[in-house]
Amino acid sequence: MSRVSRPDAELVARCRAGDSDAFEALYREHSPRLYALARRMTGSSPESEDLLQEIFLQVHRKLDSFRGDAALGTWLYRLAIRQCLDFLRSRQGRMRAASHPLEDDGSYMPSTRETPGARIDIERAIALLPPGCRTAFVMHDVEGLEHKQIAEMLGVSESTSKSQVFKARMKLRAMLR
Amino acid sequence: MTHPTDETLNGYIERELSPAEHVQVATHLESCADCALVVSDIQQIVRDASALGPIDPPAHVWEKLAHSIVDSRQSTVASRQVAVESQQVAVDSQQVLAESPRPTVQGLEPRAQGQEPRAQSLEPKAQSVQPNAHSLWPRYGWAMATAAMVVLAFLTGRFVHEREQQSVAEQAPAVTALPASVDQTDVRERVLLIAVGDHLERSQMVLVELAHAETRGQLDISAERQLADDLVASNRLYRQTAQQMGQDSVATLLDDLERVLVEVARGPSTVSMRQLADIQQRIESQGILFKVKVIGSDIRKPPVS
Repeated sequence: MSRVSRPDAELVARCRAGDSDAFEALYREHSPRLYALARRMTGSSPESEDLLQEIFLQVHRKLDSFRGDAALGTWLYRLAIRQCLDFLRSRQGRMRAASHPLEDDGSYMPSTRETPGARIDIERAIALLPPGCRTAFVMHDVEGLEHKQIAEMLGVSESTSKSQVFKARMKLRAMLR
Repeated sequence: MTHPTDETLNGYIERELSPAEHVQVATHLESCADCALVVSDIQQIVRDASALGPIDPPAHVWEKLAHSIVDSRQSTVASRQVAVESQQVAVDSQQVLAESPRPTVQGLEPRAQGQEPRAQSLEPKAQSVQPNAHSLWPRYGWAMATAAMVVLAFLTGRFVHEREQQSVAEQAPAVTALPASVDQTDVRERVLLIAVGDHLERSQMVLVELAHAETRGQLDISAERQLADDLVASNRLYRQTAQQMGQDSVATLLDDLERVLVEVARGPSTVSMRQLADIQQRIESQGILFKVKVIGSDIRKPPVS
């Protein structure tokens, strides 16, 4: 049974028919959530912009394969998170990760709180996490995925996922205190 | 007083401790401000993280995206034009194949005799262009047939061109023996596109297999590697021919495709999860599978009258 709401079904149908306004509407509606996901997963604005563009190019290409088994937002989210993980696994991603300012040595401490407001602080602090534990933290604490799901997506054990989230929390605590 | 470890405090927050441990830590937190602060800080981080919301992307992301989509649509439109051009290929190419040897016998005896057996030997393969014959051909038989057809088309085209030049020089009437409606350049283009369509279909099979493959250990891709290796040489031929004929969009696509095919063909037969991800990223990042699907399907699509 289709789980797609009528407006979503109509929007998808119009996109499939080549209606560029419909695709822009789809982008406007869903891009903020997917951009936030991409930005937090990559920890980089320029990379997340490229990634968001790639995600929606994939959406444009794959919309014909959307069967309505899940809500449109869920389908988009799955596609986006897969794209994010592919990016992080890619050579390009690894090279950029290698030059990341904060590695797993726990030595980084921000000199000051850069801007007032806890949410802005935590956004910036998440971006400064090492890639490995940032991914697990974003998937678990921000996106609300279970450790079992994260373990499957990342190809690691559940205990590794828990360990990475714990590590991220402790680093964030050190940065935000 | 023994403080719980940070892991234990984290387990307390996650409610992953046994009931006895949970009570023990809770009791400790009532009397230890330091540990209570750690728990409080982490709980605050978890709350803040879960409350993080969407972020509006910069406006230029949509502008770039819209531009990319327009580009892909233009590619689709161009490939539809290709499809229209290829509409009469099956008929015209066979017509040329059938008719071109005859004037050669009449007009240019020595050369025609040299060419005729080659043309005849390839003729049955040219007939395999008909859709019903497709399933009768083995996997590589069809590839060989299409490649042979392209070669034949170029031999025919080259021969006719030479013959026309010679005929003009001799002011011979033999040119009129050719069907007036057959423009040799057009026919060669159409034959090329038919062959490229089939080539893209086989390439798509390789790309789809690789793009959708999953592994957590080692994965044997020797079959895809072998197929990619088989496709590289014909891809190069088609690309160069497309360039010579001014089919820039097809040549560009084949150029992109060739890079991926070469990478697979020259890579290992067994790949790790990371190597597979690299290959998949290469396929994804260039949108090569999408382009192959779109242009390939448009070329193969039955033309609309």
